[in-house]
Amino acid sequence: MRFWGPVFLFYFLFNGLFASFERPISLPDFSLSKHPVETLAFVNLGLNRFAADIDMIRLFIYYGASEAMADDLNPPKNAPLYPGIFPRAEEILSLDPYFNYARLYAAGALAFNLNRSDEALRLMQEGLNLEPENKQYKSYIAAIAFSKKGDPQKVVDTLSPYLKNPDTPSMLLNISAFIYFRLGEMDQATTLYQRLLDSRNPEYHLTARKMLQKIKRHSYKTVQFKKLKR
Amino acid sequence: MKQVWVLAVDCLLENIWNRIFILVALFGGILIYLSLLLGVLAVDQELRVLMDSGLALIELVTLISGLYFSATLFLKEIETKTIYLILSRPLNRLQYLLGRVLGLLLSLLLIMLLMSGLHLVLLFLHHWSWNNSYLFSIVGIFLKVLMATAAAVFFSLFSTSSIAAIVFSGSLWVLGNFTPEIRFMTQKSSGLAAICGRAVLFLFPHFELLNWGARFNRAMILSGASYALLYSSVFLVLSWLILQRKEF
Repeated sequence: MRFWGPVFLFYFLFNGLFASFERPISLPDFSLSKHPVETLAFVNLGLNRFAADIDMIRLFIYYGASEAMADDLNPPKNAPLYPGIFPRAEEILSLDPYFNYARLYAAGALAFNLNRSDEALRLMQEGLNLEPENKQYKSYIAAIAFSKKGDPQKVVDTLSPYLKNPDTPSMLLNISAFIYFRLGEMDQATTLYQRLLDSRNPEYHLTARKMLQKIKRHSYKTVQFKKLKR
Repeated sequence: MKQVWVLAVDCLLENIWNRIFILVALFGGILIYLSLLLGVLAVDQELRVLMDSGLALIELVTLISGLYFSATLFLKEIETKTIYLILSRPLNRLQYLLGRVLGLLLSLLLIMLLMSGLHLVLLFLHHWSWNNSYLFSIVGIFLKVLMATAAAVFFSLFSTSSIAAIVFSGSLWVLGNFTPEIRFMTQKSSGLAAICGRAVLFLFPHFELLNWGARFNRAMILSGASYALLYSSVFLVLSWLILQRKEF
């Protein structure tokens, strides 16, 4: 019995000492969660990253569903489309704050597709607070600001260095490719559409194929026009 | 040392014939199903989801088997009276404990290696390129399970039922995964709540120190590994103290 005391004392001391090496993590905001019990179970088992992945899949499904299906079947007039994107993204990022793709995807959808730049900027600012040196976040914030001003050229110029990054969502590639197409920068547009076509994500394959055909036709017409001009 | 090794190999073989391959086959089936399903759903993030779901399943399956093996190991040998035969040989109780625990760990290592092999095949089929963080994640999981298993061995010798041992060590696992959040709450609170929070931090394990996902460095690995080894050793010493006093 005489050994028990010292062993327990040693246990408390070293366990308490190592506790100081642990970084404190805030609890996920369960009030935001659509599935609080499931989220709590995952967090308790130490599977935060996996919980974030499951919620990301749910976000894909939500954003992929038709507007009426996405939330209320009878939404009030002038209600924003997909109001759940921001809280869902916040939930995912509270589970895994370093989930770069989720932050970029949600902010991109909010800023470039749904014209809700404020929410997008909030997400990006939170990311920048966490990783102040992240250049991709800084560029994204600038691109959102240019988009708000209605300057598409500057949007793609700001985003272009990061489009090769594997974490860049296909949705953003599609948006950038379309802006290049509208601006008449066909080489850049072709490269991005070809990348979308080669990617494993089938969501944009059809759009990319159609746009590449359009670019081909456009290039043919330009050549013919130049020949006639001569 | 030879006696310890003989006991370890015996424990490993017994576990292999009993359960390991059923568990791995089950894991393989679930993983293949998940990869097909999640691959369709996760679009751009197929690899990340496949990686995380695989590692989560490896952790859970190894933990469940570790807790079950360790909670039943000694109680079964006491019930079947095999322990009398073993301890009647020229073998002391420390050697017996170390042999059994080593066998248990070898079984868990084998389960993890088989599951990781299967997981890696699936990842490579999805054009994943090797990254050292995978290896560190697996080592981190093994160390976490080592801590939980050591605690489960202690509880199995301490209590008289294997269910109680599994419940105690399972609770320790849950609370041990919750300590970063408890630390956060403790920092934000004051008075009695803060004292209780600090007491919890001294009492429960800190598995977060072994979550070496994509972000890790040498200091994190060294402190985490030494913590896990120290923690497991303390529980093994406590188990040895109980085993010494036990009368069969």
